[in-house]
Amino acid sequence: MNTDDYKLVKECLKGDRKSFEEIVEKYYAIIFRLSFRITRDHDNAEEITQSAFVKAYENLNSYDYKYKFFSWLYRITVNEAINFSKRENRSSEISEQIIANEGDPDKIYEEMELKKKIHDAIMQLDILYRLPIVLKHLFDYSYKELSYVLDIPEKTVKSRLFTGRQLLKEILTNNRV
Amino acid sequence: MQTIDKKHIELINKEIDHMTTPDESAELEKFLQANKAARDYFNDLQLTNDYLDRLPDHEPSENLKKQIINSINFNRYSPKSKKHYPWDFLFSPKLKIAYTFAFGLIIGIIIYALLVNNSNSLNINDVYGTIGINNDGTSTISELPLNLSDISGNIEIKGINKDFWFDLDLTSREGFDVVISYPAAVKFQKVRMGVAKNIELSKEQNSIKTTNSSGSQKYSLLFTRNSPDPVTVKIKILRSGNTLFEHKLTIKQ
Repeated sequence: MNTDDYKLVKECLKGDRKSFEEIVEKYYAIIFRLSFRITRDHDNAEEITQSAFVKAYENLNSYDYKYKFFSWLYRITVNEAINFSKRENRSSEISEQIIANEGDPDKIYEEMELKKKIHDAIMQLDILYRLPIVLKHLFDYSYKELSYVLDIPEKTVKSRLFTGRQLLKEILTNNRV
Repeated sequence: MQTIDKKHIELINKEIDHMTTPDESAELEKFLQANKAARDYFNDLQLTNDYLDRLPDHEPSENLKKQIINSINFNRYSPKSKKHYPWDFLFSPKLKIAYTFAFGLIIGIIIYALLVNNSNSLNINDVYGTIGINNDGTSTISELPLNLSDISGNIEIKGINKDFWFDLDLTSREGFDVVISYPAAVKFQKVRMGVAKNIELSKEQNSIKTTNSSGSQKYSLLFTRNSPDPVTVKIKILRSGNTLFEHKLTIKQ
């Protein structure tokens, strides 16, 4: 594990509040991005991020040092996202907040349309297929690392990843992307 | 139309995931060149993957970090802080020796006090003598010198609190009996043998009798009263049923 993370966790368990604040500072943005890619909703992503850090703090004494700390954190985030998804039982609305590029207005519009279709396609995927795709794309994890974060066997990781990608391709094709 | 077998579908996905070995990459390259359907499939998946790269990352709100920190109860791993009191110095390790010494001293004082107290509280079994008022709190109630025809000696009655006793120190050429009568408020305790030879003790209700052989007899008869109220007792010396000496006295201290 990252030595800095190791020290921060140790200090935090000794009661040093500042150490956990450092952990939050270090990881809250990436945890938010992960949450956003899963939910495609800013508010929901923030809620999941907050909930993940609270859970991480509460369970810090059960953290297994043989795993990377951020992988453990992602694992908690994924669980929170799954729980959130079950609770909400709805598809998040696609965010319209797409960063516009400078240039030809027609091209900008086309680009925005394309991104919206990609967002739609991802959100049409069942969360079980969405998670490995998002994680793989965001962190370029190995199948083994995905297996830990998703808490499923490596074989299932491959199966879901390949199937998810195939489904995404089909959705995009059907949407004439 | 060419088909793609399961093995190569997996290999295509592994290539997109950057998980193939150089040998696998080479094998896939060779396969894709020979199989258009596989090539199209690979390109479609690659394009799908590239689409994901085009999605911009969103940034969290500026106050998200603050929200997260505020939502955590940081007491969970807080070191248990010890409250400090002004008298904490009393529990300093440096004072342990002093406490041990003080404790030993107190125990010593208590034991000493108990022993001294014991010596002041007279054990009736240990008290006998002929001096009227004693330093130990006992007092001589009466002293009866005897100088009969063939019995001589001294009878001393002493007491403390509710206890009293007869110290007999008598010498006779022949045997004799001593009878002490007492009221119901008095209880005979026991006989304490001094230099007594062949005495027999017989107890009846409200009286005690000792049968003494000739020679020197020295012993004590001990009694106690039920209450501090005065009681009257009588002592008689007899031989063959004839009273040789009789004395009545009141125990009242």
